[in-house]
Amino acid sequence: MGGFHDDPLSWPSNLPFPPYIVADRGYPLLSWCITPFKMGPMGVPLSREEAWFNRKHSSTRMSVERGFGILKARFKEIGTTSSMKLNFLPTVVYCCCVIHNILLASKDRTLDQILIDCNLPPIDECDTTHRENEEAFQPPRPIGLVSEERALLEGQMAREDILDYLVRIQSGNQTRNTPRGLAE
Amino acid sequence: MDVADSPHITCARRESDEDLEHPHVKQVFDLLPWHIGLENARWYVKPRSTCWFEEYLFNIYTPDMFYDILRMRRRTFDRLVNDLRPFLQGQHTHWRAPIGVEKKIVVTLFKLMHGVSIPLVADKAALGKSTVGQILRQVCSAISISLGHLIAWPVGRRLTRVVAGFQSKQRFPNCIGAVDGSHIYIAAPSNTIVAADHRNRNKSFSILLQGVVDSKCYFTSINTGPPGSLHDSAHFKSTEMYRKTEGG
Repeated sequence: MGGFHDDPLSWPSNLPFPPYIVADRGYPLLSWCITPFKMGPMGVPLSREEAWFNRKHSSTRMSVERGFGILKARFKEIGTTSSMKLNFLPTVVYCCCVIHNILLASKDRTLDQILIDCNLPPIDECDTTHRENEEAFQPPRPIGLVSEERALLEGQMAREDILDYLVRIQSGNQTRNTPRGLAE
Repeated sequence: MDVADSPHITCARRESDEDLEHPHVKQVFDLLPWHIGLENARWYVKPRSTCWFEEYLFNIYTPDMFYDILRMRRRTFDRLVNDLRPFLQGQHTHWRAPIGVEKKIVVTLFKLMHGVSIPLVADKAALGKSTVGQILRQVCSAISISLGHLIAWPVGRRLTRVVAGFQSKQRFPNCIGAVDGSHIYIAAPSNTIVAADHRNRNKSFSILLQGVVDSKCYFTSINTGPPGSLHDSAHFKSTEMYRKTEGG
């Protein structure tokens, strides 16, 4: 179930990288699914750029937290313990997501008003409201699958590309205005 | 006071054929219990008040009150009704008039938005409890089939807008979405094996919802249904999105 028709890797050639989605550290790192940097094997701390990347990554990921927050605040049926039949509940959830999209598009209320109604932070403040300490999670090791190892490697390369790009942009801006993350 | 004397009551009762002349009785009474051999039945249609739906909600309530009930403006509601009318329109037969499309959608939205129990919805809308259950299934299926194209992966001009949205807010280049999982909590299933599957790490029972969201909080891809004990990454690898790109 899901409206996924096209190959997500097809992308217009005027963009510098292939497009990707951001995910938290519970997800696999792929070339099109970027997760935050993790600490090294012996508790090696992250470098300053990597920590800065993680902060920006986390604030980007806030849009999905906000989306679920709005969804669950608006639809109490799935926000609280649902009383629906188990085999029918996925249809109900899907239906709620469709209505969520309709209501966002219809501009019944502006997004900020919805966020205030749902006790969620407005969009401008989301840079500072990311969760600092998430639950520590160790992903299961891939069991000798070459393709998974290669996907991980590709994901790491894509992540480094993005980090390089961000650092380059940030240092380019440094002459004009004060950067927020790297300056301290 | 007798129920049939009060205004805003719809009912069909054996002894009182003259009640059927009451202006607020909206049902069509071609068929009464004693026509089909139910001589001892007390009610064919139980007495219920139709005035909330037919008078208050659409005529008397102010736009703000309407918004509080259905969490949408009247304009949006009318558009939703027009979109769903071909899928939900009942047939006019000589038994009685079908339940209107507006009523079906109001019942569904009221249930979904407020999470109240079915008897309360049935009482509000002057319907039977099992009728409400049928309507919920019908409307939710109709919405997910006929309006499912509203959850779509960004392509073309929309892709450019989403990339620009992420770029302007957090300066992440070329990001087209953020993915995360969420639990939809359920009552514990009675079957022990099913219950063990749905028991998540917070020691409650749930099913999973994984969504990809763009920069304006629109859902662009949804996957629901796996039990709550499944891990996020395992759920991610079972989705169509992952299989289409990684599975070859």
